[in-house]
Amino acid sequence: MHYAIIGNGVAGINAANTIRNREEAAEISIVSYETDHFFSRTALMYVACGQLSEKCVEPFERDHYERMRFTRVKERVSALDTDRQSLKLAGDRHLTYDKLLIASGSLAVPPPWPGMDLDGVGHFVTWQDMQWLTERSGTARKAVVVGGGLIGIECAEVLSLGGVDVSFLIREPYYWPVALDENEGTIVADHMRRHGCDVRLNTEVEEIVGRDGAVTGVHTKAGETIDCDMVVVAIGVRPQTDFLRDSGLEFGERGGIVVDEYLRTNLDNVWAAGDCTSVVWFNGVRRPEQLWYTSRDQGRVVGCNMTGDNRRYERGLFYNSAKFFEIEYTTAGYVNFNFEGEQSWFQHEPGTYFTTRLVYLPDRRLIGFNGLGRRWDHTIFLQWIREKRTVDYAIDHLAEALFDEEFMPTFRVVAARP
Amino acid sequence: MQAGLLKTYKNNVQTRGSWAWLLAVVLFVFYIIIYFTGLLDPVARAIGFPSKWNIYGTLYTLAIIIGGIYFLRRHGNSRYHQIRTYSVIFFQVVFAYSIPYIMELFNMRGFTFSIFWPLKIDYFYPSYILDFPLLLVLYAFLGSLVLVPLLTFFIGKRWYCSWVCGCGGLAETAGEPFRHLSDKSSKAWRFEQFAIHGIMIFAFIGTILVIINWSTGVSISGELTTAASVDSQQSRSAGEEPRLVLYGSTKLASPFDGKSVWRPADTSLPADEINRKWVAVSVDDRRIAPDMRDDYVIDFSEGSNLQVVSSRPGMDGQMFGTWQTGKTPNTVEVSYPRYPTFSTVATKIQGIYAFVVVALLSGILGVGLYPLLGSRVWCRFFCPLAAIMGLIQKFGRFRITVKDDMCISCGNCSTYCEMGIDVRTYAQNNQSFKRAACVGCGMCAHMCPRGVLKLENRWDLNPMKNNTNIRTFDL
Repeated sequence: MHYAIIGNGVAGINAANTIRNREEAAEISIVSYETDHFFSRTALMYVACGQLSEKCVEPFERDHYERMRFTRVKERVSALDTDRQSLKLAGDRHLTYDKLLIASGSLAVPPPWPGMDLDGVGHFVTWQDMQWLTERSGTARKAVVVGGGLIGIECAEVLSLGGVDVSFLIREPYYWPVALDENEGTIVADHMRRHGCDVRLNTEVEEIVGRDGAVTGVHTKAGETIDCDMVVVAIGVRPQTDFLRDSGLEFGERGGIVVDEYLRTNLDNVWAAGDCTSVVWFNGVRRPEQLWYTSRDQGRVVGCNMTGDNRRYERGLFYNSAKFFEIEYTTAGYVNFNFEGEQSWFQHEPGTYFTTRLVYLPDRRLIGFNGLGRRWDHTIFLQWIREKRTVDYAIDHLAEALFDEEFMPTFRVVAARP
Repeated sequence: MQAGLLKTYKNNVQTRGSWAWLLAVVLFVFYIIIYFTGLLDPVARAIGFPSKWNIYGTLYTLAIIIGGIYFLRRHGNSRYHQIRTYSVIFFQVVFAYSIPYIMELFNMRGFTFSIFWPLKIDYFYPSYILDFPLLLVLYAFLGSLVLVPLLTFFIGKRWYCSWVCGCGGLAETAGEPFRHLSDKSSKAWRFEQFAIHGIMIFAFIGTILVIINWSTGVSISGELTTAASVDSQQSRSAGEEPRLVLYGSTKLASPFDGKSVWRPADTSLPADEINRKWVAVSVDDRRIAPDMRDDYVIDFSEGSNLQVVSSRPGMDGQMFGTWQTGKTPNTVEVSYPRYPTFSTVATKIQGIYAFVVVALLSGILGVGLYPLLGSRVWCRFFCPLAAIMGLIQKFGRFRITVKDDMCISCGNCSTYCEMGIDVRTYAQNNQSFKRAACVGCGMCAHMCPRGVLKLENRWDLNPMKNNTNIRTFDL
């Protein structure tokens, strides 16, 4: 049995590991053009700034492929032929498969404004993007980062550390409204400003301008011009599925491959997992979920299902974490999903950037949590939400969910109870 | 509490570049000068120190203070790291440096309270430790056999390795720029298990042999006043046992006046025999004379060990007997082994341990390799005390707890683990864990951008078995 896996990311490698564990004799090929070894994409920023080396971000030892007997095909797949069960590679070569997993991940969303082809303008999603950013930031003096999300703030942090002046353009009235409320977003933006970042809220790009093919600045819709010699566009990612356009696969909106709860596609012997899929969320909406954790879980589930198991991919409650410069962020459950009548209990510990927010419904049921600064065990909040605990219970027991380092200042409830 | 970004891998000296090699060479040369030459003794006397070892101690302490300040600038936003760094600086400045120095000023032998057997292997060598007052002897024994195991069981070996110990102290401060250079491969882990437990067994065997040798030894005592009395003191033991001969001394006064002149004259043996037989004299393990043909001025204070070593063919380097000034002025105690062959072996092993482990591994390689293999080469691969505490730690309360499903496999934890533990493998498998090597520096937890790791002391002693999460993927 020949398993072909398109993609060497977290979904692909987890699927490959699972298949090998379940089928000693399987022939497994991993097709990807990006890097020789699986690396942690979430750690790209650490390689860019020099906190980690290229080898540090490889979660497995380098003999992993050999030990697990994976065939590593470093090629770009240009098309999928389901009749012949084969992948088209460069130079008219083909790779046939018995079962196929598509785990091709994401690419950066191209912006709608002109100027993307100028020298000094790029994204920060792939390994090659990272190499570009590292090289460019060595000579750049002034950079503009566009996009008030996670990748944007990571780029801003990396560039500031490298001694580049950064202007950070955020379209929204405060930083990352998808996940934070205004209090939290303001704390993060203020923290960035203390690090010397020029954070500009309510700012949209009109055009990236240049001279002799190289970028010289950014025009905003408000009519300002920001001079710069480097622009990083981080306005989101989209499934990397363009090469599968004519394969007969069914796509959802934003180009994600439609899969069922067993991660099967509409085609025989073809599964999909990770960022490139479009799955049904808890609220019935079908869309891609571009998260490290879900890709890892999908990879493990699909590896079981491709080898004859029948496991549902269950999304479970949402959780995530991030880090904004020094400020760590943990979220669990439903925050900013705008349920009817939802309210928030919020506290900001004086003199710190430590905040805690509990989201609850009119019947006082806890549905979500956001924390900045301190460390929290998201699994405790998920358990409380599943157990339908009230916000009052959660406030009384908050200290149980702390995951701080030893000797951290004691956590206290300082805000008025709801 | 969390660290900002670091530029570690964009730096020549931190990535085994040319500057790192140069620094390593400088450190090697410095250690060879300190350990094997007397070049720094005149320098020491010129600035008012008794010996070169005071220069070394002063530089070492300065390195910990300056390195500590550097560390706090990088990671002082965490209270765990703040307190821990103040602690290692305090123990170095007060316990390892000042107290022994002050004791010496009062003509006592310096005793280091912050160091235990078998890291200080001499603390279980009877001829060494019994020179100290009874309370200090008790401290050395109870500290090594009770305090160390108990604290390690309750809070992990971190209480010592990254809070108290001088070797650890240097690693945590001056060694901070090099902590990421530790080897994380499973090959290195296998070598670590082999090497550190090998040295531990070596230390056990060496100590036991020395104790047996001492407890079966014979000692005699006599008076030591003038040349005549020295001659009359040519102690001879009965039968086959080694003869000990004291050479005449023209100016021998009280051994406690600080200086005595020894001259190999007027002995009962012919001169060529003397030259072949008595070749070296040392005081307190410090060799001061290659032979006894000429006059030597010997610093000779109460409690000093005067050792006479033979170089007779086939007995090279064998300790022939130990001269020790007696409890009252003008007396001398001479002890010698009852079983010379066993004694030869025991002494040889003691000597090999002192050279290979104490000098080479803990000093020259341990620090010299900082810029190439990271700051914990000695602690991770060779320290016998760390080995014992590591075994206790495996059965104790200290562990690193992993938060389920939040690891992004970035590798900051593994990279900045100075002990070369591949923390990421545990973290990405939702596996709380205990590792014998872990010195509890807390850097994995500190560097983790997702707050996945936490150092804890807890009573459920086996974190490994509690992991039932179905998401776990085990290779």
